[in-house]
Amino acid sequence: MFGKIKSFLGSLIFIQIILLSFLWMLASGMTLLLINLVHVSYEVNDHQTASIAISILGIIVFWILASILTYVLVGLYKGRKKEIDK
Amino acid sequence: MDDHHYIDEDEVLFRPIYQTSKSFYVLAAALIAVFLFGAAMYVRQFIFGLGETGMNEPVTWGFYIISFVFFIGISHAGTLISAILRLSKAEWRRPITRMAEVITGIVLMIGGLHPIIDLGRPDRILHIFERGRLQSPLLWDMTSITAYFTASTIYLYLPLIPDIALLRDRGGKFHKLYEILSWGYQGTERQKHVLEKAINILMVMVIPIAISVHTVISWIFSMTLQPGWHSTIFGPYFVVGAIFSGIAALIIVMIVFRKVFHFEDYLKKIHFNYLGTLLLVMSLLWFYFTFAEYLTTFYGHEPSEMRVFLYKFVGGYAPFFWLMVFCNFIVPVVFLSNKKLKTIPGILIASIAVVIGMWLERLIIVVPSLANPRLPFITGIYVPSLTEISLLAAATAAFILGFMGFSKLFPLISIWEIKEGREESVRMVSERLNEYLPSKGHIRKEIV
Repeated sequence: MFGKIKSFLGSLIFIQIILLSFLWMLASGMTLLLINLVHVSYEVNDHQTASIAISILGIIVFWILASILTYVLVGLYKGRKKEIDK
Repeated sequence: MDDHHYIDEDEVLFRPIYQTSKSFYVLAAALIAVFLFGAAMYVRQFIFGLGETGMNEPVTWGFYIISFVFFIGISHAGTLISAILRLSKAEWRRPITRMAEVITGIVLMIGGLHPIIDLGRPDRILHIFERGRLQSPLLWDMTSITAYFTASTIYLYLPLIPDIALLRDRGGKFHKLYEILSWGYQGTERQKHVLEKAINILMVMVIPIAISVHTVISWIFSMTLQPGWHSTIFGPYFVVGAIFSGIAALIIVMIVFRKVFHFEDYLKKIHFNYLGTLLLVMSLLWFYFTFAEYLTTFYGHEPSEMRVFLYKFVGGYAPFFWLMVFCNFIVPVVFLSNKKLKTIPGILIASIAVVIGMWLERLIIVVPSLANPRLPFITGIYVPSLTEISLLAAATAAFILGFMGFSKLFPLISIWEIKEGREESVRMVSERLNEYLPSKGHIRKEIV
């Protein structure tokens, strides 16, 4: 059990997953930041519509970018596996 | 596999990674020295405050904001040209796109740091996260630049994967790094399909993001009521200026690397001809926007606007203004519309003139309006200090160093796209031609 975990932790795929996770952390971080800024705009009675519209656009863009990279990396991994099976 | 025994038909494209000349080290050392001097001046500014700069009331923005707008502007042609040329399936894009995408990545990092340098106390950036106000264009700017940097980094990385796989298979240095970054790419049909689909989505996504970035940067100025700034034309004016300066920077980078790494077989005269034509078109477009902007101001003759107008045209900033017009309009039109002068050296001269001219344009936009506010002050004076000048030099050195560093790790020209071009382009282009040209057997009968 420990051997399997150790070999996974030292493996290529683990490093690649860590790298990919940085993008998801960025997307999550931007989401939290923008939600916080909408909350601040509510507190100081700023223009709500602009704040919400910008936040929605910004959040969507980051999540799409993270999804595209995940799609590619999962697709490349799956494509490779099938070739080895052949 | 030992890379010294591996001969590929595009071996010259691998050479910069595996061979390093003495002059590379000399240049790198000189640039690092410039960068470190700039860093030392920044530390001095950090200790003694923004009094080390030439900024003062009323000119509270200077070189740092000018450089911020300038570097972000250059980033545009990177991803924009690469995306638009890919979208329009222009075959001549193949050796250009990688350099364009690298320009974007590097200058966005450099440009994005400048507002933090301009703050004086960098810890103030945390206020954006805690108490930022989304109705401010500064926050829109932060969001759009972060999105653009993320999108353009992914857009650089995805087409780089097949080349990283080639480097991995060659063995040699950085093998572990290439293994990690290639993500098991082996060129199978499924992998090619996945990559192509993702690149297609990204190249469409990146265009509105890129346009929004410089539009939002222009709104930092035009959403204020400063004379000379409060103009509806600023959005498209800034985007046009950004693409203009970006194309010029790309041409300079291409000519330099073509000479240094002997890429003559890949970066041919025809590439520079096409980019030179694009540069000419952008010069004319830039002139049109500049003319429209200033004609509107002059016709309105509003007193505070005219103070700024006269300051630029005949006052203290007149030399910079007319030098800007010379560099952005006269030189490009002369060199790029004349067949005899539209040689590679001529295109290089025009591009260097445009880069200088566009930096001056940012200077002309930022300082004169601040120096002549609506308040009853005498005209403000701004003289950049050694700190600001050295940080501009450090930023330029960082740009060149970034490119040099990239050339040591990854190919500057997309090798897989060149190979694909050789194998597939003729078939793909003739298929497209057959789709929209009338067929050979078609006969039109004229009724007499």
